[in-house]
Amino acid sequence: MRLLEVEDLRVHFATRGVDNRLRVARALNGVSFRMEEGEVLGLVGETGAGKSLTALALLGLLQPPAVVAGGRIRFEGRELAPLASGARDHVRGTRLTLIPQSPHTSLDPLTRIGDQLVRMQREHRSVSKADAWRRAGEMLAEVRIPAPEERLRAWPHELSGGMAQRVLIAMALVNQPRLVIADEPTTGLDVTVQAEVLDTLRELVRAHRMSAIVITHDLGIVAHYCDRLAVMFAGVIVEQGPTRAVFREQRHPYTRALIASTPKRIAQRGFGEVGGSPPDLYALPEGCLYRDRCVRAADVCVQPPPNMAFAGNHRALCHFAAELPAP
Amino acid sequence: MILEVSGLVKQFGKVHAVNGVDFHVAAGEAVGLVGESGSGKSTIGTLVTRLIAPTAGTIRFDGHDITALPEAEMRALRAKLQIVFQDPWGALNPRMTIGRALEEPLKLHTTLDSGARFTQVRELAQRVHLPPATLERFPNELSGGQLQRVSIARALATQPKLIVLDEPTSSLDLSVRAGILKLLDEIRRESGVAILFISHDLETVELVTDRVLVLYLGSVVEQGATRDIFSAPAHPYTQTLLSANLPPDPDARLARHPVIGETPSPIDLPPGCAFASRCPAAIPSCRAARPPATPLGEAHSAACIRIAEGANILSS
Repeated sequence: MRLLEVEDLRVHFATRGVDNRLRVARALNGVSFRMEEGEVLGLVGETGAGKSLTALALLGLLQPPAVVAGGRIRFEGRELAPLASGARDHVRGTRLTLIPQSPHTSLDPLTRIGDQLVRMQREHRSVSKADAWRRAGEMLAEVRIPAPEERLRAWPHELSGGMAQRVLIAMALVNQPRLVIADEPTTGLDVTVQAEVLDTLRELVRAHRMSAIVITHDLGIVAHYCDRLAVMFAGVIVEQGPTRAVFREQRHPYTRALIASTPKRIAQRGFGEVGGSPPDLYALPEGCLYRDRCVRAADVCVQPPPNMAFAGNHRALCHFAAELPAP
Repeated sequence: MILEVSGLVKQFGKVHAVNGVDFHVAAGEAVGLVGESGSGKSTIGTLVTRLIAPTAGTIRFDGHDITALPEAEMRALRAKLQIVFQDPWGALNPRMTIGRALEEPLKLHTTLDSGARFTQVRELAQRVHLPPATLERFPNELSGGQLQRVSIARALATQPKLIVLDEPTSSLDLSVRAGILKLLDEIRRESGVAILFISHDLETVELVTDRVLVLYLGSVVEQGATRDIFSAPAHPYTQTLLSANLPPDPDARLARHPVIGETPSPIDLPPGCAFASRCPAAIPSCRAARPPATPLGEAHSAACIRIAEGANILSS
């Protein structure tokens, strides 16, 4: 069943410079993707590509000066507004939740773990304190925190980074969401801990038939934990499809550049054409947004690129997506 | 030998950051220090550049014992011993143009007049592929990748024999990171400078270095040629660390080793092997005394008594 449908989402930031002139940063420039139930989607891209901004729009957490310039979000068949509204929103927080990036700044330092988990439940549905406390303990056990009953009484500062990240996963899952967005869920964790945390997250997503969006810049995480992959550049998804197909075919030149930049590939094939600065969101070019950095760019690239489709709902926004030889 | 370190110890109050580390860097060699948080790798970087003083041990740089060298004498040597940090935003004075930032080390360490310095600064910018216009800019006008190029150019200004690079690419995006790695590769080929490369990123260390030391809780658990360590890791910790790496290839097979818990506190260090509390191969005698380094081949050794007694640890 279709769980989520994002169509042509556009978000701008309007600011005034010191010269009092209005400047518009075009941060999201037509983001479109769909998710089926049970899917894990990896959202990758570099700083400023719009990964976290897409998540904020889904969660209804965008704040001015962000302006929604177009597009729509349908979740479980309902329209969701991308901008924050004052009204309490029970879809977000229960059906659609977030695992934030930094464990130690995302937990309330003055509240015990158990109380934070209770608050999270009672904020969104009517449940007795005793039942919520019991569920909090179950949740800590589910995210494999040892001695969960005792940990309910722990303060955030008593937790290691890996444990704090597990508590955040528990917080996001305690209301049994259908879709959970993990924003760089393991950045800052050690490699040995990272793998364990990702395993736990994947098991829980599967066991409860949830879907997940994993935002990351780590192609290794995407390769091993995500069913599908969407590559963002300058506020658009330039390529998306089944993870294996995208890694194998690399239809968009940016996807190829990204994969070629990993140390493993450099060790195998040497340094190719690497580098290039991120695009200026205040002055994006017409046509293909990647063309200034693209090794394949041609005259036709001043025209907006077509959305080319391949087997398995694999898509790439490039004039040459069909003719790129398999690398 | 450019750098020789023996018995290096550093304690911060009760925290045992570095617990008796021996290693060396030969001229022109690239040596990697890998480890997770709390392994002491960054502390070692600041110790060998004498930004902080060790608690015990000796550090020899280019034939000089610099362990307790007074700052005035150290300053002269610093021209040949440079360090580049992870955070390029914090490493540069925000009120100084890039050109002036690059000129500073030349003022301090050379007798060049201002005209000659100007020529050198332009050459440095060219070497790290920064457009000349960058020299007029301030740090806040540059991207992270450009700033890291500036930091590297500044380290190169005085023709060092050793550059310590502490996580130089960790805060950078993938394609920008690749550009910096390419630059480091060029610099090594052109100048023959030795490199001490500190990183938690296994794949980058594998790409950049000739030899690797694997650190855990302030001790070297294994060292050897990069090729040997990555193809045949011997110490249970190295095996665990490498098995947790996720290669950017969906078809790569993962053979994950189980790992128990997280790194223990560096305040109450166990008497025996520091990894014993998490090691699936640990036996009671591992906790009795610190394991000595067992030689495994040419320049390859691992500090594990299970290897010494010939046990087939985890690799089966």
